[in-house]
Amino acid sequence: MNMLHSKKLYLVGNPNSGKTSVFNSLTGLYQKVGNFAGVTVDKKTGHTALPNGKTMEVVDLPGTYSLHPTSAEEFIVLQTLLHPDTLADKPNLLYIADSANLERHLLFLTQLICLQYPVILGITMTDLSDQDVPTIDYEQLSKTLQIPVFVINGRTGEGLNDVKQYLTQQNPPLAPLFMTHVAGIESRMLNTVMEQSGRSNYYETALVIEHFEHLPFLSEKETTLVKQLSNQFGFQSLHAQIADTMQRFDRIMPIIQKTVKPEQKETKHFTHKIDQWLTNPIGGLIFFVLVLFGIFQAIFSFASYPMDWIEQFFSETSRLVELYLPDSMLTSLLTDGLLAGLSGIVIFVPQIAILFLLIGILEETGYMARAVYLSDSLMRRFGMNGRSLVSLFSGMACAVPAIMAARTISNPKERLLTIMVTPLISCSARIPVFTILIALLIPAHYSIGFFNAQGLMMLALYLTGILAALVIAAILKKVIHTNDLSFLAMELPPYRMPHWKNLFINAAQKVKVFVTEAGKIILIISLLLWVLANFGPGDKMQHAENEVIRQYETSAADNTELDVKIAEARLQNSYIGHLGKWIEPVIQPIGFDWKIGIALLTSFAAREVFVGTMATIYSVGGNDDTTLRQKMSREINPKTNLPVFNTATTLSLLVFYIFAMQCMSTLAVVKRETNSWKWTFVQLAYMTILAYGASWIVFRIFQ
Amino acid sequence: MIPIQTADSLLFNKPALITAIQTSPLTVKLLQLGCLPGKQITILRKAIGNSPIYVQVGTLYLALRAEEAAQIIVETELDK
Repeated sequence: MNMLHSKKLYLVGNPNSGKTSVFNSLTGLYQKVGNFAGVTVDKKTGHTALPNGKTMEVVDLPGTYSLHPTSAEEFIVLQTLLHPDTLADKPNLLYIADSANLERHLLFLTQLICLQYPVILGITMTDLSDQDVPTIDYEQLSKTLQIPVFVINGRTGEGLNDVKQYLTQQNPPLAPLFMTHVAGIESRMLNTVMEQSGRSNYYETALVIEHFEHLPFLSEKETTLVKQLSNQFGFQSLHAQIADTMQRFDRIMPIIQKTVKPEQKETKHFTHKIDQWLTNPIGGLIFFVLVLFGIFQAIFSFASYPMDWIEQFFSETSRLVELYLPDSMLTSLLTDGLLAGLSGIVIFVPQIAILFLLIGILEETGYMARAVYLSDSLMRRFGMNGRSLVSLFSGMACAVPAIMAARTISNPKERLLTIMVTPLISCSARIPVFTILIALLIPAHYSIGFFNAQGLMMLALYLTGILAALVIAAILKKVIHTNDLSFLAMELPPYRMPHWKNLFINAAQKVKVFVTEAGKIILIISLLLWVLANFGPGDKMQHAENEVIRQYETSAADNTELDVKIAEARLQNSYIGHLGKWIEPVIQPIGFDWKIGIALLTSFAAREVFVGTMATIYSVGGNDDTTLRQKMSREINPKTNLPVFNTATTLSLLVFYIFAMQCMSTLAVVKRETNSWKWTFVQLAYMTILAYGASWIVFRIFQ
Repeated sequence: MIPIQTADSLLFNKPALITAIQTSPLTVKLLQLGCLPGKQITILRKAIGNSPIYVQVGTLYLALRAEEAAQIIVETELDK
């Protein structure tokens, strides 16, 4: 045995058992977050120092109720524990159980004992005095189960040193099998599979027989054998799983009676009292909507301060680079390509951090489960759940953190639907685009009744986006088929104070994952757009620039005006300019000309870039919305001699910006969160088709 | 013969005893959550619309859809 390399430690336990706190306490800040192979379920790993000077790798497995899975996370745990590599490694398992409901926690524990993993039981205490705190005879429990039992506290780290001391043993003794009889499987069938596949553990074999369809690593020989024997013996997996569970509880009940003395309190529980208000059918829903608006408010307005600082920092850096470096292509690559790209990544950090801190509070206090319960009958119609509402509301500020938030939805289909429709909700990046276009359409002083007409138009655009998201979700619910069981059945955990350390670690991890993973894609697209906007076919760009200089050198009022004219000529003759002209036949039916085409292409980086590009195309220096609007409204189409931004075109453009993806950061984060280019492109395609179709209809009607 | 009574048809705050769980793909889930034969179940609240109910099973609080609660077979004081 390699003496330098300790065994791994896996953290296992039910959801809401306090496992995350224990993991954070053991590993500290140096954690790695990735995905389990093939799925988007967080896999957290870290290291902990043992008293003997060695370090031990710690893996946090998703919260699970038993080895008979009903959710994606639970399948991961089953697959991990039955994987040949894990079975060969035999890692130590630290099983975290809450003292309040020991009976239920022991189900999964006894299954792990039967798999012959070295298990340590760590019992945590519910912090709130709200729960009936039972008196547990730990010694008796340890003797009965024949495994070490420690009382631990993830928040203070209490008891963890004893666990670590225990882990320094090279070969901790294994507990005897908790049960030696498998319920629900005929012994002849079990024995045949054990003999033929060379498995020596009966419970491991039983799980293989029951769940072989979900274990991709089984040999074809074994799968065929199990299928054939299942037919032969009329084996039914469901019945076997129920029988196994019932048999275990029959054994667990007497153990609990011997070791746990429940302490009944006369007063009604704290949780019960709060829930009279928070889960009231009407008051509770109103409260939830207020919470959602609070989240929106936080990422829309509180995040804007740090976002302004980030923008200022990058524009100041750019300015300094331009000041000290010669005016060259390299400088442009540095400022307009690299720094612009980096700024486009870092700008999302405040929103992501704030949203995940808030979601963390909702999850850790136990409120989120109530919100899911309250909104279930509404959201299931659209194939989503209450957690989707957090994404949809956050989407009004920005789709990027909103899509990342969908990771808390454990049903894969509900999660995919949420990711698919969230970008349809109008985000804050659409506001500058909407503002300038609405101003072209409706004079500022117009009003309908008491309401300002421009404001009503803005509201109409937002509502259109929300409606589209719901309709598309309802359609996708019918179109996408999965084998997942759709159910609500879940625990409403007792309310408790959030563990602040967990919240900050979680938010920091989300930021890190975004910057390193989605950031790569954003940077690549950003650099690509820079190349397309700064290079042109042949020497056309140079020619155009020289032409402008020759024409305006004497007539231009100052250098700024000349620079603006040069920028316009360069953009029009760049690759992106040519692309804009090239796609004109495609966008003509929806009322756009090639100049709008260029703006559509550049604003794929982010929607608000539309305004900047329009300013460049129409030779407007600085950030002057009024001048730009005037120039746009005066623009005449040379072919028709009519204004370009007439009602039909402007409305068509507005509708296009409601539906079109037009955001590389969203695209990048969808790729990371679905772990699939297929769904990323499905989304891009359906949103583009929807945008084009809706714009076409609007243009036809108003033309 | 007394018709089978299920947990979705219970009155508010009237406890009943779980006698069995009907066999379905959700049976294991309900058992895992603590809906075990012999435990006391009480409907505490209902959400808006036709669906979920908020129940207490033993010392635990659970949220169940009506069709999920319908799989829990119960026995009330009157049945005895």
